[in-house]
Amino acid sequence: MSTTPNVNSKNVLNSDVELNGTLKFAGDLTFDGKLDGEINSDGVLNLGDNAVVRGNLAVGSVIVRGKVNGNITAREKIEVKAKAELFGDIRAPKLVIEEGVAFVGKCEVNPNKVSATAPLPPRGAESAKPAEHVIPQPRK
Amino acid sequence: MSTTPTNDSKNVLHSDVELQGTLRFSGELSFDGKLTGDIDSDGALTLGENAIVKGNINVNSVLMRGKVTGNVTAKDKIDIKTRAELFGDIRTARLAIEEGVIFVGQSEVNPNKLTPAAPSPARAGETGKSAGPGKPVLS
Repeated sequence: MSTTPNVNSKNVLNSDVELNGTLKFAGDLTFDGKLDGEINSDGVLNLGDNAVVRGNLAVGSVIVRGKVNGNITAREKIEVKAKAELFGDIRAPKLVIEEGVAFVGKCEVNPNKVSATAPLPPRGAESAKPAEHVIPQPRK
Repeated sequence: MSTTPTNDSKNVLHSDVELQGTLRFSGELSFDGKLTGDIDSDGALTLGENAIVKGNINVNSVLMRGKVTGNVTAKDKIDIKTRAELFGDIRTARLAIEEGVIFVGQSEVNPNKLTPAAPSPARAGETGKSAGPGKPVLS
């Protein structure tokens, strides 16, 4: 039970790599190859300009370059760099997109779970209170 | 017939403005008020930090702060600044998003009409077993 992963590891896969399957890591991974499959990690993924990923990514945070066809979920942050091509849905508390990307998909970036702005209240209804959440009381 | 709109007009609406209806302009508009309705323009829209828009925005380019609930389409560019809140879909040629925004919706930013990358072409008998990429995770 003492197989704590080496969280400080810096893993590198260069553009000559082709991979088919699920990839897991714990520290950092720089990936610049081709992947048909998934990446699962709590760590930091760094995709290079040559990276071509077909599959879903679930990571701590990710810097996206290259091409991704799949969904990306990051616990912390997704950064999409210029010239990246992303076809898939993304979900993260923080998102940065540089100008020049292609991004087709759904986006869910809502760290504080804010809900959509309510329609403007009619004038004179300033005192309208937001609907209160009724928490059901556990019955004994 | 000679009522060509002045294309370099700088229109400004501050945060004391409340507007209901469709807003059209042709040059530039800086909007920091509340709007329930659509904005239609071939020009450049700048939304301020106090702006609250509930409606669709259809412009050439937009620099977005404040809160928008609605779909945003820009022929040229959408620039979403930090602390902006956007609930709606976006479609444009160029997109830039700063850290710290809220964005829930669909994005269609694909100026060169690219199709999804197929990384391992010519791999015979590929049955797409790899966990169905592209399958939406969001409802």
